[in-house]
Amino acid sequence: MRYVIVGGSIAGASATRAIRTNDPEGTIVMVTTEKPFYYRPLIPLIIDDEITQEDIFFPEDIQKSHGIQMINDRAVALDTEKKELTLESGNMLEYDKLLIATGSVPLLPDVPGTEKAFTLRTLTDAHKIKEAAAGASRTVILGGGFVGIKAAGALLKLGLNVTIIEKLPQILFPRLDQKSAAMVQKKITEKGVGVITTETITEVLDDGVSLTSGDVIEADLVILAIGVSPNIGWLERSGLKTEKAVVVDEFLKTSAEDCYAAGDVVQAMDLVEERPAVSVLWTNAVDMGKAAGTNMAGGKKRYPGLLSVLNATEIEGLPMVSVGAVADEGGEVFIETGNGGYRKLVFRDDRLIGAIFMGRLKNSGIYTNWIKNQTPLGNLKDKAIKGTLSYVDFMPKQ
Amino acid sequence: MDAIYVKPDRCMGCRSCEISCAVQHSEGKTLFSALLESPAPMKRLFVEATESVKMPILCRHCEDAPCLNACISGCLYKDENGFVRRKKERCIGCWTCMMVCPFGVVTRDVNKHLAVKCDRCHKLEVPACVNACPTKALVVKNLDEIPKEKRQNVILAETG
Repeated sequence: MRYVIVGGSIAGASATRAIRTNDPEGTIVMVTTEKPFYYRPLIPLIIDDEITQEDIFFPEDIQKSHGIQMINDRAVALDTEKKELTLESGNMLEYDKLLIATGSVPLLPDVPGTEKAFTLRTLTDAHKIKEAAAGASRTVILGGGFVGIKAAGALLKLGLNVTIIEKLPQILFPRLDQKSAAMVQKKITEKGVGVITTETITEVLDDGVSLTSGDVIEADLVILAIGVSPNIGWLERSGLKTEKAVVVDEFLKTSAEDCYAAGDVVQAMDLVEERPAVSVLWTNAVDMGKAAGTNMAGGKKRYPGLLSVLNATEIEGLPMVSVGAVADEGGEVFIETGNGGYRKLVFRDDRLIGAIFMGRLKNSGIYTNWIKNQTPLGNLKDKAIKGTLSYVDFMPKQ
Repeated sequence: MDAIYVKPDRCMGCRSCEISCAVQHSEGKTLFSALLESPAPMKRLFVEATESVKMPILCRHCEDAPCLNACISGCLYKDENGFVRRKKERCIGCWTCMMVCPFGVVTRDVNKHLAVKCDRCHKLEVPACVNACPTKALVVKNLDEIPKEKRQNVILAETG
């Protein structure tokens, strides 16, 4: 059996592990443009040397341990009839089972001058920003998401003057609700990051950006961090069914035989929103890769769906976990504040569909599991609201 | 594989396991020195109670561990005994493991900015919590033995 995986990040790595568990003999070929395998969520930490060059890579050499043949190239076309890939080098690559795991590419605003700006998606991007930051004193970051905020924190530590520009009235939408986002904004503003909301740029200039208000903000380094879109351009003529992203069934099989997809390139059912969504999250890609890899190697593993919001991090001393439909203001909502923390639970009927924990994170995983499984809460809802829920509540009575 | 097995019907909720866990993970490794340490050493298991059940909640060292799967920094790994452990120097304090642990047994060391979880006392023959339990509510057992023992108990109860 010849497995070909297009993409060398976590969905591909996770699939490789699952393939090897089920098929120790088959040939695994991976096509990637990047140096495998590194922890993509950590790339902002490269900018200010918070982690070492070495620590960004997987501690285990899975290329060796899993016997992967690595091809440093880019897939440019797919023929699902002939079961063949065309690579940028002109080489062709045949497969028995294919995994599309090409991830996503940065979204760019539709304004002139974006070629003068940086994006932060790959390790190479992070190195470029680090280099540019060395000679810079002012930076503008477009986009108040986690990537933008992490980059802001790193650049601030390097002594740059940092301004974040966010189109919406709040930062971190939809990963946080208004109130919790305001808490984060306060933290980063106190540290010295400028945040301008309800504003966007009209052009990237040689020495800054111009805003819709007409103002110009001077900057020697402009970073565009407004999000990502699935990397599906190369599949245009493949006949593969795509909508927002590659369409897959619940076993992560695409519309073509023996062709699977996983990670950011896929749209899968959101477990609480009950509509197809694109993940863009590491944690989801791990699970998808595992299911796809198992199925490619002849197993049968259903992928139940993803959570569009499944984020944990710490920003300027404020630890947070955010899961599910947290920005949903329509449902039944419980909010608790105090001690610099914040706790929000969003219910739909007898189910928990979203939760934010800020400050105190203990037992947050129990709630995540609840949201994932959409288990009816029954008489545990009160305990969840009081915050006294623990795993012992799920034990049968003695 | 050997696992720490909890028998809730034997647990009195005395928290001896919690204390010995914290002591084992202290600098001095004795109760008296641990009491004086600042910051105080952290326990890795938690005695919880409902009206009908008391028991320590502890890491299962899951075969398909959500914390390890979700770790975004290569900090968590499975050792040769199947224990889910931590390479401290790799932890960046992103708390993803806390977000996904369905048992709620990963916690946060605020001072060291590290995720903290049970390491199965891998240097000890018997884990500190098991050693400290006065009622044998915590035991180390081979997982295959547990269903066998349960079957035996049922047969004994039926046949007198």
